[in-house]
Amino acid sequence: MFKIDQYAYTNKLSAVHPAEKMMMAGLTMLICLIFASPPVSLLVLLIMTAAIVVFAGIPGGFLGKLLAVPLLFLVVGVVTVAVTVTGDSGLLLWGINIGGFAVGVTADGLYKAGELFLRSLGAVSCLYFLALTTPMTEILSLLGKLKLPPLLIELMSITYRYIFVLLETADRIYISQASRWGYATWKSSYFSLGQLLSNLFSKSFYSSRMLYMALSSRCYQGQLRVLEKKYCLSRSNLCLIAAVDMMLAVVGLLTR
Amino acid sequence: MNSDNGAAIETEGLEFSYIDGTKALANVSIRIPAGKKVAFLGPNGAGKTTLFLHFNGLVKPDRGKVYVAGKEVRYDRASLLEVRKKVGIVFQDPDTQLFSSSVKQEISFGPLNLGLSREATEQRVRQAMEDTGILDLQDKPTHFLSYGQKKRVAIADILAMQPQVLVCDEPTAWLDVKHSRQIMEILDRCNARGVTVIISTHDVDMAYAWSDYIFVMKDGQVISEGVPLEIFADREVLQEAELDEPLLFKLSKELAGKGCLKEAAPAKSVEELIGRIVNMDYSLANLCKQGKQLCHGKGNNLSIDIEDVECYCKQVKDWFFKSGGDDFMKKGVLVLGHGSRRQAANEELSKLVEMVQAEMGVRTAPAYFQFAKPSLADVVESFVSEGIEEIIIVPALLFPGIHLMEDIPQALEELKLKYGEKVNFHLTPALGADPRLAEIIMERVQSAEKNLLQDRD
Repeated sequence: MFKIDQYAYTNKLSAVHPAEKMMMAGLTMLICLIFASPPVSLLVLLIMTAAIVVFAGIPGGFLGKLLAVPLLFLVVGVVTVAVTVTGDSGLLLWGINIGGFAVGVTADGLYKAGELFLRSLGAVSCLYFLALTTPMTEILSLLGKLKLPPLLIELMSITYRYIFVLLETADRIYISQASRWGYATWKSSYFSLGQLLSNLFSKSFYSSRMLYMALSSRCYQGQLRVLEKKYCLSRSNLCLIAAVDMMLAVVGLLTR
Repeated sequence: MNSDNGAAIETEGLEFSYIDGTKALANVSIRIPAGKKVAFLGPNGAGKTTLFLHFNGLVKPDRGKVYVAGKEVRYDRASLLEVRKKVGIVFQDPDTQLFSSSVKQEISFGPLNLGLSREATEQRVRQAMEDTGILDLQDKPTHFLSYGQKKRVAIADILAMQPQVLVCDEPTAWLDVKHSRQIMEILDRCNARGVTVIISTHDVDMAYAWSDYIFVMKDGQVISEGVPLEIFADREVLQEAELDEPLLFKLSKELAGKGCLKEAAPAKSVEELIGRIVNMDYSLANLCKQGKQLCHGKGNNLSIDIEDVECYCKQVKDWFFKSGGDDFMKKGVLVLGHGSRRQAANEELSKLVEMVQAEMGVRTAPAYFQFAKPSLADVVESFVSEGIEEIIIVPALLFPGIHLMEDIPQALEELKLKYGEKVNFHLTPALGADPRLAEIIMERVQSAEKNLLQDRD
């Protein structure tokens, strides 16, 4: 997760207008989901992989690892779609009989499973494109421009900021516990973990109070107003996005 | 605005207890001078942070009042905003202060709250980043920054609001030497623009060298206040607040006590201290140099600095008293003056004799070469009758007379002939003589140096 965050700030596309990247990810994902056609999904996956690896300069290996993360859920989901339970064993390409029922895979089921698999992976790659190229702060400010309630955005931004503080604190507590044999046995591990969590809670509480004080000290009046970064929309990028998505839509219509 | 005689912040009988009943502040009444660099010293838990939180109304006291720039702090919304505009606090842990993930947005928060326009904010943010040297960090996310960088962002946060008073809680805690220095330089630049800078610290060396005024806190009370020299000279206060003497202060005192410093006042920086250390070369040649340097003025308008005399005496003592054991009863110092018909000129010498006596701690007497009594021969005679076996002759406050140039050495030769078996005579470089005369005496002394050294071996 830290690495994703780091790449978001340091990738080669970080200077590109966040709205463009969001459009690219959002529109493409929408097309991928709507058309539900394997060629489109495959194309989306390829285009996004190319965008992430070639244009944003993020190592392919890292992307591979990231894509492997949802694989476990995907496989489980896909298997349940692929496997059919039916009374008529003639429909099955392959199967076994259990009592009066036949459990196996049908051609239709397999196609559906494959299509679902590709579609999911395609959509996930769109999300990764956004996550890997666009810093959270910019996504948040974009959401603000999209007129999401300020309260929600402030909550998100403070949560995001303090995730790191929290993890750092947890890490420090963990190290200090581990260095004193806090995780030597199962029993002590449970005990230490409990201590860590309760400690973290009280520390967070203290932090939130201090944060409120620090904000008040800077004339906080209930709204976190900050300067927004200025970006220019690039016409060529917009054209590129439009072209890619049109192409995908055409492929989708043709293969329907 | 800030003026020298005004108080930036004033408190009156401030009392504050935490919910659990711990008394954090007890009757704190202080006046923080405007435009100064002020340090609060004291052990952990002395109440420094709690006191600071009162300075811009973040905490409401149980009893007592706070005044900012002469105006009493009220705790309604509008007044608080007004106070917080004037007094900015940099918190000790930057992670509790920095709420935004973007450095630039973080710093823009304060100015925007002050109701500034986008452009004005942009400009202030830039200025604050320049002042704290973090321009290169502006596009970095907060959580990528090192502790020292976060600390500077935290200061920039407040600088962007351009407060009249900048309060920093432990600005150098957990920082290495280089980053500490950077932070203190930022604070210095701020102060140079007229901002009152208030810090809390445990670092006595830093407080001593940096601050104009110091408050010492202990158990929720201010137990002492004053300029650094006063504070650190007060051993009782230091002991009570569990503070050490600053290294520079201690060293200056020690060196000054041994007569190794030109000025007795403690130095504020290492460079200053080094500059004040006198050459500790205890050779006669060096003494001669010293003696020559002591002369101010020309002709019969010679004068000497008292501190110079102390220093000179210490060196003479060190050189001559090494020989012949520690029997101080058998040593005598004869301060030989020119002698004048003017009584006032002779009195000058008497004063000098008192000082020499105080420094050397042995029998010391004045003698005059001419016109005034007692004469050189008389004093030597009485010294000898007292059982003194070593006489150190200090030519002092001599102005030129042709005869003197040869007469002093000649008189010395005569005395040596007369008392040579019983008494050792030493001539020291002149303590305040006309430059030309001092030169001649110096030559004589130097030629005697070799003999003296041989005698000792």
